[in-house]
Amino acid sequence: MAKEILTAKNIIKKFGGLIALKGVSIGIRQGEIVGIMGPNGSGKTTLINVISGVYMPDEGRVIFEGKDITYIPSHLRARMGILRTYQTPRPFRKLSVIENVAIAVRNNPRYNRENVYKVSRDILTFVGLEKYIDAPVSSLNTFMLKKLDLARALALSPKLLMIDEMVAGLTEAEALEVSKLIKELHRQGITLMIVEHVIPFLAETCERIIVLNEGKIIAEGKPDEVISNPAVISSYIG
Amino acid sequence: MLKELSKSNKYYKTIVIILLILVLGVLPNFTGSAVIRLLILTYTTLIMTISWNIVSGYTRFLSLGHSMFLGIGAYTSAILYTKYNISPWIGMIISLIPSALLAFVIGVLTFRLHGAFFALTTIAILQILMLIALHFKDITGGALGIIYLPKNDPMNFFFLDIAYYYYIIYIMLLISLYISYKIDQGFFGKSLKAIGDDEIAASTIGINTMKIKILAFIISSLIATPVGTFYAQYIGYIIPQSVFDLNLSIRIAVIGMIGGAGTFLGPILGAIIFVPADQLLTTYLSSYYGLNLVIYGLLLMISAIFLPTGVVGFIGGFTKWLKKY
Repeated sequence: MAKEILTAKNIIKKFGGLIALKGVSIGIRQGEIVGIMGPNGSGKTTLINVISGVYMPDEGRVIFEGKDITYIPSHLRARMGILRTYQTPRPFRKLSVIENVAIAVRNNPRYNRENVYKVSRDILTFVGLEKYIDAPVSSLNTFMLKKLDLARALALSPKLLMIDEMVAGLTEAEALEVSKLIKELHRQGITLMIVEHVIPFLAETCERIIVLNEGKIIAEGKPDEVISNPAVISSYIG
Repeated sequence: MLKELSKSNKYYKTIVIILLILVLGVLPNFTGSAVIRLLILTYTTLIMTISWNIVSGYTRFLSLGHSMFLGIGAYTSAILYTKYNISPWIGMIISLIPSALLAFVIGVLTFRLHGAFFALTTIAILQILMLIALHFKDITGGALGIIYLPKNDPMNFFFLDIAYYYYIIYIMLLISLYISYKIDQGFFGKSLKAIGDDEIAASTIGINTMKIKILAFIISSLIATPVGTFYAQYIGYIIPQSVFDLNLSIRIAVIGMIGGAGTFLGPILGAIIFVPADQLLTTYLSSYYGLNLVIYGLLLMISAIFLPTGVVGFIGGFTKWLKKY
């Protein structure tokens, strides 16, 4: 069995009186595709924010490749290979499509300065945005913006990539394209953590699913086991 | 074909820019002192706005006390000259050190917080520096300030012919424009724009946002500080209120926003429109004290409502609209 690339131990995150994460512990093995699901407000995105360094946990530790990164700032985590996308795409609107990716490539120590735009073009072609390389961000639709978010994350050669609700709101054809991209990234050896509401997509894509509800893990296991778990059904139906 | 067109376009642009630089360079030979004075005022304000734009325009951390650097530049070189007989040329370079240090300290203390803390801190520091200049009379001259007698001593930055001051500020402007252009076009400027758009998203793609913001503020201070030395030498008289001036700091921010914050052309258009208009208003409305300030306020409101991206954004949008039809 592959060793764990990421371990989150007993994570507690509070926002004033609201406890978003109540002692969540997860382990993700190298090369695995893990799905995170749960109803709205269950703490999925907060967990991504804690792992990516956007939020510091109130309690608990985050270990990446054996190193304690709990209090390491987000830009260093990104450079270490912990990348993410956003539920609502967050492009830099003052920059063109290729510039959005190029500033991320620039922070990747694997590439030298001369290659920044070439690498950026390759990444944009990989996600299917080759026709929009020099376009302004304002010319992209939501699906394209989600792909741009993904391209920006890929620019830093992720070891662990957290994809936050990329399929939500997409057409079937677009969801299929995302599924293909994810499978290709997995084939390339990237460890993936996919936060999603679309259960069939998760069941088809992931090797293991973790279910969060009200800031706690209520189920964990293979997709078919988890989906038929009475606690999971009850959390969704209420 | 397209490549050739773009090449020839670039070629014409370069020729126009070179011609403009040359024309503005020889202008004092063909104009009177009133025009030269107006141009000097426009250039000093433009340099200050370029400096403000690098930190506040791009990152949206609003500096409302930006003339603190002008004050440091003016007082450092003036004190070094009057107390230690050090040439203001050297004083101009020495004054970069306290300015950069101050920018670093303010940046470290406030850039982690919300932008409003930065804005309030810059105003507070400006007021503190003014109080220091007022209090330490033995060094700064207190409320009476420091006065120079007119003389011709180029080694000590004194000229009787105003044209020399024009050439100096013109060279300073060209250097500032060059730095601003390089920042705007380079990865540093793109990182600043990314921070201004979405700092969290910028940090999660590996941008050290703290470092970039602090560096931008230091560069900004290094551009504004020499203007202070120039101002002291050109006017020949500095008092705390004239250099640590909140009014000037706000005017710089207004010019930047009206022109188009976070763009290379924004400060240029803003200063070209605003400074001569300001002079006209001050001259023709001199009997209605304060009315010009009311007009600035209205202009800012109109600009915020109808031109949120400034004149640059408006021109860009208008050009797109023209192309469409």
